[in-house]
Order: sequence, then structure tokens, then C-alpha cells
Amino acid sequence: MRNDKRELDLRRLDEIYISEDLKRRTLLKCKDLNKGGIVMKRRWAAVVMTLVVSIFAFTYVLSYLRQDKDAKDLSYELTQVQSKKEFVSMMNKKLREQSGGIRFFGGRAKEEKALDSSAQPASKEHSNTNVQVEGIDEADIIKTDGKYIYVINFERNELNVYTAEEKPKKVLNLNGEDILGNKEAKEFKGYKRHIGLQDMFLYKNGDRDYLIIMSSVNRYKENPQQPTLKERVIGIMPIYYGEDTTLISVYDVSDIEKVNPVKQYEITGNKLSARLKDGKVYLVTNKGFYYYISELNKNDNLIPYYIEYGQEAIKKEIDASNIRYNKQDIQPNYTIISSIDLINNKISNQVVLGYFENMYMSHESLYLVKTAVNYKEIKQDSSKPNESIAVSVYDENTVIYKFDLEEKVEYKKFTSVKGRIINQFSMDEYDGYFRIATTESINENNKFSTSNNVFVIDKNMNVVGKINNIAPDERIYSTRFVGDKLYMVTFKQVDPLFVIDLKNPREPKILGLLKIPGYSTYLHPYDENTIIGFGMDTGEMEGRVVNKGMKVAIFDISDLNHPKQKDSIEIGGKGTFSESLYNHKALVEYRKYDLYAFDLYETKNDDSFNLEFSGLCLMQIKNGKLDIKAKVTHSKTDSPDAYREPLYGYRAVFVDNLMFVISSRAISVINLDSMKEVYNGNI
Amino acid sequence: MISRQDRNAEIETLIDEYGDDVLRLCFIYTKDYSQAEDLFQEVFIKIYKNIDKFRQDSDVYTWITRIAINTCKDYLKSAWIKRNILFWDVKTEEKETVENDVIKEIERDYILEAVLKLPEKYRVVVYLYYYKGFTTADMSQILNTKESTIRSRLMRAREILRSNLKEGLAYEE
Repeated sequence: MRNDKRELDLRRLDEIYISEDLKRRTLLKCKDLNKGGIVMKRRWAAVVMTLVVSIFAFTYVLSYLRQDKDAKDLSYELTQVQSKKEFVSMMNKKLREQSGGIRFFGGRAKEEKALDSSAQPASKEHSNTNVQVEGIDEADIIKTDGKYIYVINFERNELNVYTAEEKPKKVLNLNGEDILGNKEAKEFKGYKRHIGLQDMFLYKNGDRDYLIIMSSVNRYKENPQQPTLKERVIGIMPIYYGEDTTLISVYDVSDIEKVNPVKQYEITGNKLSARLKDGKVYLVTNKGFYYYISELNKNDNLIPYYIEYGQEAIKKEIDASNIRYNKQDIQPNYTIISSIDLINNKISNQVVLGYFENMYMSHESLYLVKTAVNYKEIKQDSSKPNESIAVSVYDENTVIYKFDLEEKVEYKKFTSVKGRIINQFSMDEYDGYFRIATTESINENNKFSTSNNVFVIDKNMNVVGKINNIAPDERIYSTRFVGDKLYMVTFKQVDPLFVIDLKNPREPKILGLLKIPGYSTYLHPYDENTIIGFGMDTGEMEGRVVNKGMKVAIFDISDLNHPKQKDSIEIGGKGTFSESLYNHKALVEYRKYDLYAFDLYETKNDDSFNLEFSGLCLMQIKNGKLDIKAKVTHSKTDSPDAYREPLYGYRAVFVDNLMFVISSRAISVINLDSMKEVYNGNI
Repeated sequence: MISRQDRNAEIETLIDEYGDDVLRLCFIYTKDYSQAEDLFQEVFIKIYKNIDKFRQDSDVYTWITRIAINTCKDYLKSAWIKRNILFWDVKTEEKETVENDVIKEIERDYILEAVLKLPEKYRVVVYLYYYKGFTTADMSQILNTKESTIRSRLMRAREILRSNLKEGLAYEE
């Protein structure tokens, strides 16, 4: 019937049909209704219901109007915890309420990868991690200082270091499980431990080079607390109730032959994100609880803690005075901001109750962001059953907590704005003003739509300027703040690129827009007149908009009122994917040659979803034109097993005139002058 | 006003004609066969009660589907479900019946499994579009939602499915 119905074959559902027994039971129940005039009683119920509805609807309108003024909802304010006792009883109460005997899974931090080495220039010119804010590094799985290439291989849980030369030599190999040696805090004696490497930073201080590795640590006891047989059978996967922490290890790698561990800290919770600025690592973790642990173990495990590794491993509780919570919204999970001073080897921690999905860090402040959802229900007139009987309306607010980064991380203020954000690029700080772009879901007369907003917020977290209702019915796909301009892509059927002027914080205005097919999910500033958009090409199919291949476009913004698309290329067919579309760190820029490298999973351009190429794509921008210079793969694409090869593992770094391409299985080197492969070997 | 006899005959016809679809829809929402059966009964009791309020100017299928969708949504919104299911897919003790075997077999189907893992609003559009073969315009009627919203949900659902199914393939190695 439909071409694409073959892609999604749900015929298995045919096997569900009503049994004679179900039909008989249902008919009996229906007939029973006639006895005792239940139908009449229901009529009365309908009258009562209408009344309730109108009151409900009225309060709804009131609260809607109230919120529309962007008035700050004071209920989001944070309060300091007074004592350890207060904290423990608060958490216990919440855990018991929320879990009701069933395991409660606290938020698990969403993994986010990528940083930039803001390290000082090394001997040779080299690429850096693609970061959001200049001078603030973001952790990544691959880093180079021009001399060595540091790579984390998830498949083998290894860190490998290679020399950055035409024939790279492996000079260091470190396994994740060995990273703590035999050290263990006395509280965790008898626990089993797994350590998995996550990502890293490089940092140069004077003549010393440091490598900072973040890893996840999971500890558990093999004892009756572990899942029962029944739980193991019905569970999706057996959960070992254990302690999740994030380990940060600092190594002196000035002499790669003699790598010295300097300091190790372990902070409770899973890593959300990390930044490196001026010799300080800022690590944000989130910790959830398994209910059983709090029941069976001592309450001590509820307190946020960290472990400091010196001669011995010492577990320390974070002081209650560094814990804050929102009285209206006590959550049995918390987020920790740790700042680790690499120069003085000191750590300080701030804790906020609740789970945060995103963070943004500027040179002065760190912002934690969560989406607060308020559900509202509107019951409808039941005398009109052919209209929907009930709809629920929810409005989403983005709550932003601001922390100052001075001597120590300190909570300042909060604010809330309507709508939700997409990622860290939805936020920016410039000239003392914080700016944020959100997409809002709107319900009016049971018609759902979306609209987009931009807010400008001053130092004291007051909204001072805004634009509402940008591109109604569309949603934001990508944003990039560049100085006092904002470039924003919204999408429904065609991709309008908006140029928004934020020069006057109190009066932001839309300067220009460009509508083209497709959309960008990442915007990269090239120079003051050019933005590169990475995204998808789209097409129409039976009245629907569908993704086609990947699309890279160059936008000319020299005339801000009339942005133009200068050039674009489409890569592959339906099903084409690149990690760089959603992870900016998977894109590497090398301005010396105007080259951009990103991983690519390319399908044939015939709607067959068949694999055409899987590997790394090297693109050049020259005179405003896009050109694919090379495609590098480590898999044998012509073999029938090609699709089983690692799909998204490709990353690249540039040093001097060489490009190093690394996948989970191999490393190859391309000479950029000849565009020839000069080395290819297994890792 | 329809007489009692007419009402009984009418509901039987409706069960015969639309019963399977309602049950499948309930399964799509609840992911649980026994729960779907309970909801199925609730849906037809509602239809039975309101049969005389049905206006001939709208399509019977649309009317019934809307009642089914709303019943399922109400069920998913109920306090008990919110507290328990969201955090933990509670699976009740399964009776050893032939029926359950079939259901298990179906659940094993990885495409259906991937569809069932989608958030509720995507699940229902995928069901109506790919299984029932409705156009987005029809779906806009049934779901009382803008056609553009439905298109974008379909698009998003396909994106999620694609990436999940790809992941699934990688695991199978």
C-alpha cells in the first residue's frame, strides 16, 4: 500500500485478536449495565463533570496568564541544607515515598563527550577539540598536543598514546581496570570494582604536561542484595545495586617514558559533563539511588562524598553547608559540581538536589539547567463523546541555576523561562548577559503547536529582553551564538536560518532569515561572514517530510538582513548518519588547510538503506565552495560483512601536514599535501 | 433513544467489526496483554453507554478509536501507573497459557519491540500510519492534532527507530 510500509513491518500485530471468551465477558458486562439504571446515574455524573471542567479550565487560564509575564516562579529557589541529619531524613522520606517498594532508579547522567585542548601551542601546529567557548576545553576521547596523540578505545577499555609522526609508534598503553592499582577506601573493602575509561583533558603548566582522565567506577558486593533469580529473569538486565562514582586521575606526562600519577579523586555519581579552564577541571556528576541500598545499608551512603587518593584512599563526606535543595521539589538524587585545582591539588564540591540535563560554562559562570514540567489536565464535556474525552496539557519551563566561578563554585541565583532547550549550544553568555533559546509547546483550544523564544538575562538573572513566537509551528534544530548575534535554525518543512541581533540586550530583533530545504543540527562559525551548517537534507514523500542524506551548507551572512546559501553538498541517501550531527566534538577543524573531518555512515542514494561507505570524511572549504577531499575507511566495504565493522568509531586529529584517522580497530595516516595514505596499521 | 435489544445487538456488531483493532491499540499503549484486555472491556462499556450519542456525521472508526485512545491515556495517567510503571516495567506473574505463548512470541519480534519502546505519542502514530495505513490527514482527525505535528512525530519516531534498530544490529554480532 505504501512504499515505506515494508520498512516497518508490523504484521506481527495481526496475531492479536479478541478471543470468544473476551467478547463474551465484554458483552456480559455491557448487559449488566442495564440492570439498576446505571445508564441514568451516568447522566447525572455528566452534569457534575461539566461543572468541574469549567472551574478547572478557568483556573488553568489564570495560571497560564500569570506565567506568561515571564515572572520568575519563586518556587524554584534553592535553600541551603542545615545539617547532615536534616539531609538524611529528607532523602529517606523521599526515597520511601517515591519507590513504594519498587526499585527507584535515580537519574543516570547522560553521557556527553568532547572537549577542546586550550593548552598552549605545542611545537607543531595541530587541531584541537571543537569546543563551544573559546579557551574552555571540553573533555574528549581523542586529544593531541602536537607531539603525541592520546586516544581512548572503548572496545578495549584502553588509553593508547602514539607519536604524531608519519609512522606512529605506540608509546603508552593503560588499561582502565588498572588505573587505581590496589588502592581502595576502607569503607569499600570487600566490594568488587569495575573502572571504565570515559574521556580526558590535556593541560600544560609551565614546562609540565598533564593528562587528566575521567573514568566511571562501579562498585558492588556479591551478596544477598543482588538481584534475586526472579528479578534476573523478568528484568531487562540484572542491576547490581552498587555505587557509581566518577574517577578523575591526573598524570604528569612531561616524560612519556616515565608517566607519574599526581593525584586521583573520586566523586560520587555519573559524569554529566566536564570542562577545563585556567588549570581547574569542573566536573558535574549526577547521583541517583537504588532504594534497597538506603534500606539495607547505613544512611551514610546517602550523603554525597568523594574519595581522595594519596598514600591511602580516604572517603570524605561533603559538608551539609555545601548542599542546596529546592523546597518545592525534593528529589532523591543530586548533582555535584566539583572543581579540581590542578596546580594546588585541591578539590571543592557544591551539591544541588535534583537531576540536571544540561550545563553551560562561560569564563565567569557555570549554569545548570533542568526542564520543569507541569502537567495540567482538562476534562471535556462528556456529553460530546466523539470529541476527545480528556486531554492533558503540560507546560515546560527551563529552570536555570547560576553558579559563580571565583575562588570556589558558589550558587548565585536562578531564573525560569518558558519552553525547553535542545543542548548546550542553546545557551551562551556574552558581555555579562546570559542568552537562551527555547522551543515552547502551546495548547490553545485543544490545538497543539510550538513556538520559539529567545531570552536575554542579566547578571542578576532577570529577563531583560526577549523575542517570543519565532517561527510558529516549527521547532529549533540548532542555535549558535556568535558575539552579539544569534544564528538559529528552525524546521518544519524547509529550514529557515534566522539571524538575530542581540546587540541591545533589552531589544533583541530578528534581522534576516533564509528558507532552504533540509535542516542543520549544528552550526559552526567559520569567519565573520560565514557559518557552516551540518545537518540533513529532506524531501517530500506522499505529503510527508522525510530525511534524505546528510547535508553540509555554507551560509553567507555578510548581509545580515539577507543571509544566503553559498554552497551545499548532499552526502548519501536515506539512513546516512554522522555522530558530528549531534556531538560537536566529533567534528574536527584544521584551519591551516581549511579542512573539516567527521565520521560518516553513508548509504546508497537509492532509498535502499544499503551501505555505501563507513569511515571518516574529509571536507575542504575553498573560496566559498565545499569539496570532499578524501574518504578514509578501515573496513573492507566490499565484503558482505562490511556493515558489521565499527560504524561510528572514527575520529581524526591533525598535526602539521598529517591527518591521523583512528577507529576502534586501526590507525591510518594521510599526508595532506599529497592526499595519500602513508600509514595503515592495527592499534 | 435506542432500545435495549438494539443496543445489545449493536455492541456485538461493533465488537466483531472493530474489536481486534481496539485490542491491538490497547496493546500498543500498555505493552501488556492482560492489561489490554481489561482496557478493551472498558472501551466497549464506554461505547455501549454512549451509543445513542454517536452522531452519524462522523466516522464510526474514528469515534471508537478516539474513545480507545482516551481510555488508554487515562489509564497511563492514573496515579498507580505513574508511580510504578514509569520507573520500572512491572510485569505481572504470567499465566502459562497458549495465549501468553503467542504474546511472548510477538514480543520477541524486534521491530515490534522497538516500536513498543517508543514514547507513547510516537507509538500511536506509528501504529496508525504503518499498521492501519491511515494518511496523516486521517490521523489528524482521529488524534485531534495538527497534521504537521503528526508528520513531525512520524519523522521523529522513524529517527528513533532507525537508530535503535541499528544499535540492535550491532549487538547481534
